[in-house]
Amino acid sequence: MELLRSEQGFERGFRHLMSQYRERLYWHIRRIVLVHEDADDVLQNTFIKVYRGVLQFEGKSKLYTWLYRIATNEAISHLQSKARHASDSIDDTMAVMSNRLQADEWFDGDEIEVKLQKAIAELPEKQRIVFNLRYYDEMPYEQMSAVLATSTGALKASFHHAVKKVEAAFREL
Amino acid sequence: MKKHDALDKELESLSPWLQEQSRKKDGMQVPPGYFENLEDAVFNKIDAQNLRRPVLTAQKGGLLRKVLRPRMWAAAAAISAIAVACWWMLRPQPGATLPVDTYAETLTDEEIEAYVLENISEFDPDQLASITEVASLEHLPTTSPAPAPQTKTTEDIPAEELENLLQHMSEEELESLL
Repeated sequence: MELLRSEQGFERGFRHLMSQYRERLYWHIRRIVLVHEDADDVLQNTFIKVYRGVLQFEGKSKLYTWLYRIATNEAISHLQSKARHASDSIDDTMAVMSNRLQADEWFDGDEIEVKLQKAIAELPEKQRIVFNLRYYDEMPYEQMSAVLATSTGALKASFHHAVKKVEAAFREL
Repeated sequence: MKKHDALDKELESLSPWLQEQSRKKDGMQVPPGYFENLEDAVFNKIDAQNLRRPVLTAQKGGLLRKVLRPRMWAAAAAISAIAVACWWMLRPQPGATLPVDTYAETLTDEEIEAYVLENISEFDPDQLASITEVASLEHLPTTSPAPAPQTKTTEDIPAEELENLLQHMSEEELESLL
């Protein structure tokens, strides 16, 4: 942050910030939007948003939390925009995208992985994000609470429901 | 407890099947060199959008900077002015009349009665009458008086009985009736 605040060091500081968080944010976004092309768009837009606002970041939350929040909002906005174009709901859009997953050249999962991704895609939007953050990113509930502005109790309940639903959906597929 | 262990323990009771799945392998990949080229791609997009380099508007200075904000001072001055104006308007005036209820409590019944009698012409007669009625009625018995015993008139008495009655009356009694 110090580097970002200096006149000469801003670009170098911003590149450093991107290199520190790019992978974590990418996988977080990718699991929401599923397809690499979409994840790339969303990640770049996330970093542009960060570029515009990073100097106004007052440090009331952790930088990591702030970045995750921007990335999550961008990913949801992207899905909403896609759903609007298709005159569909986000849940229907997710069903379409999970069916297209196998056609994505940057996906080479086996049958179980495809079925698991389809089962996760059937979850409601918020539950899907909670499931991904907990199951794949192994994010503690306290951090998740700061990112999603939801109580840890509600997040635990949400994750527990999601786990049951994913397992049930997987067995039905 | 490590993050990984905490999640494992949670999944163990919730879904042993999901716990067995490899969380690190989900079939998703990225093009080779994607992350290494990402920074340049972002800066190219920033240039293409002609985004200005952000300027630091929030300066360091912490509490002192916040205290010296002109808007904060203006708001504080406005609140103080309103508070003083309210106090000025609501403060008790010297020689001001007391509210009627408060004033009445300081007078005796005799003083009130004397005042009313002196200024009787100032009062609304109907209102005065209604007060008097209510006051006097409070002392009256609430039960209705017993009906007066009915007396027979000469018209109600048969002629024979009347004649009989007159024969037995003395002259003095007759005179008193007439």
